[in-house]
Amino acid sequence: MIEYVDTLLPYITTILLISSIYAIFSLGLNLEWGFTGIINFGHVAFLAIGAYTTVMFNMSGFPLFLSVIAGIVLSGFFGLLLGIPTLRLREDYLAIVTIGFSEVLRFILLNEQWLTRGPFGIHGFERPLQDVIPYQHYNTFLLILYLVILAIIYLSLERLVRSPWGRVLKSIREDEAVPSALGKNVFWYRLQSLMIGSAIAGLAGAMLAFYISYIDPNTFKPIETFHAWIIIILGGTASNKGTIVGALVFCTFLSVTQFTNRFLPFTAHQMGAFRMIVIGLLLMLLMMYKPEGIFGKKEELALSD
Amino acid sequence: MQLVINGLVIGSIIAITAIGLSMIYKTLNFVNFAHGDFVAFAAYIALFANTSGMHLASAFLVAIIATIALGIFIEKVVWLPMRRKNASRTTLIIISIGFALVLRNILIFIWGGSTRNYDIPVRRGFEFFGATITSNQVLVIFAAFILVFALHYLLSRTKIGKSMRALSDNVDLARISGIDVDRVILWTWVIGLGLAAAGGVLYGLVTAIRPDMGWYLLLPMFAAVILGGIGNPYGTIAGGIVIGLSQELSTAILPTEYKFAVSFVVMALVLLLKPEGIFGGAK
Amino acid sequence: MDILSVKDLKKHFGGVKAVDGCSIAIETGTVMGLIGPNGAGKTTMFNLISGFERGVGEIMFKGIRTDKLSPFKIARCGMVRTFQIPRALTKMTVSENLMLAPKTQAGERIWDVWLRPRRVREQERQIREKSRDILEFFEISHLGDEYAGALSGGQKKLLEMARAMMIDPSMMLLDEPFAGVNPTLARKISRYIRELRDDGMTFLVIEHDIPAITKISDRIVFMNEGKVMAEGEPAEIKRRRDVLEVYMGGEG
Repeated sequence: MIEYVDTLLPYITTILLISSIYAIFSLGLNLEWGFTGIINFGHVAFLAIGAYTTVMFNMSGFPLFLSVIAGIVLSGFFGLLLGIPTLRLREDYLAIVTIGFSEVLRFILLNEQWLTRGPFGIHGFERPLQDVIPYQHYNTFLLILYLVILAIIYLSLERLVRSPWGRVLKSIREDEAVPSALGKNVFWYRLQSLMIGSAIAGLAGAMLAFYISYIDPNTFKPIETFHAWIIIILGGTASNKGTIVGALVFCTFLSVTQFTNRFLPFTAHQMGAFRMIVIGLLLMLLMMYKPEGIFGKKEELALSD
Repeated sequence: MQLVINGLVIGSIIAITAIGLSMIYKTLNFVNFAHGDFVAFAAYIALFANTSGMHLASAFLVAIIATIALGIFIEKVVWLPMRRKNASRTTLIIISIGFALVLRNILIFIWGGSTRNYDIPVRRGFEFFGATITSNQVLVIFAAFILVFALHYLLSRTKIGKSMRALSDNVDLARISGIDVDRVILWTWVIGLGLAAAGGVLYGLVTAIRPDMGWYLLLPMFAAVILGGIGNPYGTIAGGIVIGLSQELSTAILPTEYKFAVSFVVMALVLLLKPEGIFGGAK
Repeated sequence: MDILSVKDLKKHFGGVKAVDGCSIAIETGTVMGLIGPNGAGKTTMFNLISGFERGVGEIMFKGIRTDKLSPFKIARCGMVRTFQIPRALTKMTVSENLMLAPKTQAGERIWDVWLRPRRVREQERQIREKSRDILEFFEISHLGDEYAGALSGGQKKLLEMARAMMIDPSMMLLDEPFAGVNPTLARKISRYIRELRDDGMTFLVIEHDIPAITKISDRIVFMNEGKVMAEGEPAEIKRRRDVLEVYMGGEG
């Protein structure tokens, strides 16, 4: 019994850690897509910017806390840079441009080795309080820290989307002509939403780096963006609570399926592909039959009319 | 000179694969993110047929037929019902991404993630103004020409081709003037994916076959579509050649790895400055 | 005093001259009716005046050149429009629709949400009260908590007007306020327009229902093929031959 708990507990800790990172990452996208209606297919770029900035600032001598702040700020700033020329584009163009942006960024990370060590990645960087916390308890510490951060982000976002500011975002999502006709600067609100969403993704990037204590460009493939999309849609677009539950469900699924190859006659890479097939099918079926997600309100969903 | 030839080869592949993307984009009013994976699917089917002993020419036909069949199947079970439901453009885009994931990973599941090549004899290339051209490259350009002429004949001379053009000009008008829209859309898929499949098989001749080859072709294809003006097949062809050439020529000054970025930059510039396209697609 | 003056306004779509050199002036505190057959360019005029489309020509609103301004800036000057097909935000409740509208809400600035929560709350309370008053004025208080998507077409028209009222405009552009509205509701809308005018608000109203529009308008502009064909008091316009021909021609 004791041994059972001993193996199960770290396992659950791992799932919760990954879930909290994905939850924060997806909350950022949910602000952009769920509440404002911005199609961002390049969300992973900001995860990468956050992770790389934090690690590289820290390695060049900045205190860890300031490096994380730098990661967040720089992610938000890149959100601004991306948004200024593109947020006036039609939604399908925006989809293509943002996904292209994230891929180009990944190529830069891969190829500018003087800056990023390219495909070899970076490891051995400092993690928060690593000298204070005993190694065997480190993940538990990280989990508590991450849950606190998640709670803060969640509460802040709830407050924002329930404020008049959030009301403007929702009106833009549904029909931007209305807020324009009422004197709201739609473009500026969309830009704010993208900046904040990107900054939150940047924070998630720093958290990801600390957790896996290794980053390389291929951690940031476009598929991560779509993981966030699935999490949001699963949980119900425009529901922050749903996004967190979605992240938990999704990460549990990811991790449980790592063991199912005991029951299925697949090799490891086949299992990986199988998992992606299930994810793809899930995305299709959700969009086709239950676009309001598990926790979303049908009346509030501005998707299919 | 070598770069120009490589550019022309890649460009003609981008051109013929992108035509389908462009036509579907215009008639169905959404970006099919799975288009590249159809291209990869065709290459793998050809690979499978070829390695199980079939001549590449017959494998080529098998791949085209299989890809079209898959496309029709998806049209019937996904796109047609979603059109009936009046699904938004965004919904369709996300569904197409889901399908792209499914298709790509089916390829990985069956054939693995590593690179493959057709089972064909490797012939030496010949010299041409100081550049080396392989016979496969010649074949690709030659085949692309034939396909483009066939397409031109189809669009300008046949009834179905004319209705396709009418539909991509103005969906509402076409509907009013008594065109059977669903049937024409079906033909748009058939021809668009047929060309994509052909392009995929040809692509396998000049480069290695990988499950993510479609993904890396997607952005250049988008660039060609945007450059040529959405729904304009001739513009798309020109756009494809331009993108292919600029990708290859960029390697003279930039590291090869940035080829992909070149098409992105070209596309982003066109979108921001002249979103209706460059090659006569303006309306 | 003219609150709005439009000089030689033009808008061409390709070869089609939707608005072809229109000039109108509206006096503060009056109702101006804008009539004309389909395709006369009335809605395009609206789009140009409210900034949703760009044309050539001069538009002065309360002494400010507005023809180069974006729609939200024009709205901030105190001009608000409704749409021909009412654009209720269907995924929000009726009161949320109204509470969206007021300008300079502290809570619309992200830093104020954090730094001045009390002020934001206080303002929200005032705005909610105001929205209640306006809903009462339009006699739709009972619909406050409904999702706007559940409203009838006529109710959506009222909602749009109510929402517009929330920004205390000096001028309202109404695009076919009576279309698809039952007679009782239409009488109500006419009454509101007159009451608001008597309080000093200015209206520009597109309408096909000639009896209704002549009843509420102080002056009427008649447009056809992108041009202003006639302007005058309702009684004058009703006697004009060309106007009658256009309106009666189709029917007999």
